[in-house]
Amino acid sequence: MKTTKDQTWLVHMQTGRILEDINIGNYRMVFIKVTQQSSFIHYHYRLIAFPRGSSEPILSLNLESNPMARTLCLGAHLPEGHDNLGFVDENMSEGAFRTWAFDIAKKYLGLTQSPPSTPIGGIRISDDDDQLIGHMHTSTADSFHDIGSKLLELPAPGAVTDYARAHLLEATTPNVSNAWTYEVPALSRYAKNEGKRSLFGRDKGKMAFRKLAEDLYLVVLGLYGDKLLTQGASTDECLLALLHSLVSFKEAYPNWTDAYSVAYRLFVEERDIIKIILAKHQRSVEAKLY
Amino acid sequence: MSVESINIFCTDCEFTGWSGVSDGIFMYELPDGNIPIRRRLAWCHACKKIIPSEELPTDDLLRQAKIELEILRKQIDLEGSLINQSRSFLSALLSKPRSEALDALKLREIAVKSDLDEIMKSRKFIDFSRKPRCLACGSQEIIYLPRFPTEMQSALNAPAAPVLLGMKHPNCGGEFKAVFNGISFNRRFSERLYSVDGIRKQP
Repeated sequence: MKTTKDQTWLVHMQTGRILEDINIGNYRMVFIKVTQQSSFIHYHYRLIAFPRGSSEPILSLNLESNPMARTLCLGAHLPEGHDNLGFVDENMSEGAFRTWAFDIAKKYLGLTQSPPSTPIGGIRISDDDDQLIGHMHTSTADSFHDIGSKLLELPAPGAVTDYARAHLLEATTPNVSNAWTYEVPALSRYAKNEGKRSLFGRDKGKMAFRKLAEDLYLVVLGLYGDKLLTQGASTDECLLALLHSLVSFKEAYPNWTDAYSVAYRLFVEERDIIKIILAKHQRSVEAKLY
Repeated sequence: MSVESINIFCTDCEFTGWSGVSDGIFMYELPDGNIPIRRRLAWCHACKKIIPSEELPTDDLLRQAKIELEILRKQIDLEGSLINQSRSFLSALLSKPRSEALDALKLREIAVKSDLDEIMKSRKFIDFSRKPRCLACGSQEIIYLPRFPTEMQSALNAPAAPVLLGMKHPNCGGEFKAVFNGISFNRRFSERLYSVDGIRKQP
């Protein structure tokens, strides 16, 4: 049986959030939200179809964007190659994509049975295609810690800027990458000044925090500008996108360890305060753009 | 005028195209005067080649321009405050801050602002909810090519080796690659007029 030529589905299934994993007819259908990009095309949601008993997909329907082209498309990976099935508005919701994807999958695979009208949540942890034996629910709290913990990993001795990665980052997410070049030094300044007072008793840490909170606006703008966030995104989604982008930035510029460790504390452990700040910035950005 | 161009070819077949097709004077004809057509390279399913196509002033394009302007303004603020931080009290008091980065940002802000104004102006005349057209044949069956990578923006710094464009050749499956062709052409362009629906008017 021919399978798709796409190589990215496995990483996406391993790292993304599996929203639904069901059997329809002779196929296992996995609906995922992609959380870690691994190619020049960015995927947001994917519906991947595996023939029963096969570990390789035969079809993948995707909401995908090309950061360089700044387009958002519906795409299909088929054994014959990739098809572009049209452009979509950037506000396409998870529900709208799910409905579209199951409809198209029915046509491609000749299915007669329909998916449940509402998604069945959870991740199936059975390798038996016929029976669901349990669900492992994921939560965003786990995601924050999983991603955030990468900020705490120390760089290898002698690690320097990875220019290839930095270049890739600038090409794929130019606005966010540019924003972090301001925000990471601001985080570092906060790490340096936290708990210190000036000669006249001013709280230097508080001032540095105020500055970094203000500068986060540029990061939020960048997330919208690079289409990593769309209108109506929740604050949790905003914080997750922010963490992902910071981890990518860290991979390119590994030596701001003080900034990354303080970022872990602020963005993961004490994230409630940052969420309030992000919500304010999101409101302001969306009011200007939509 | 002298123009540089980029060759685009497919990794799996003989197909070649070039960016020079979108050079020229493309205008929408309006009763009150013509306005320039924003163009993008695209693949036309009818022509089966790379063609110039309309880039309509959609909400998305407008939003991108707005966000770019907002980002630039914030960056100018940040650059300004960074310069002030690094200056002594006296120099901050007596001289204006100068920085090449800041100047470049301000120039870019002017360009983006005028681009945004142009988008807003053209939205008054053009139905941006329709599909964009191929400016060669008028077909709406087109797919935009990704924008060229940043290193391809100028022939001076462009890599000698072809770079992947991030798009597959439709009906073939090979990938498009781009490379500067190293030749500057002297070309004289004549005006091509289109209706606001993107249909070419007879010369």
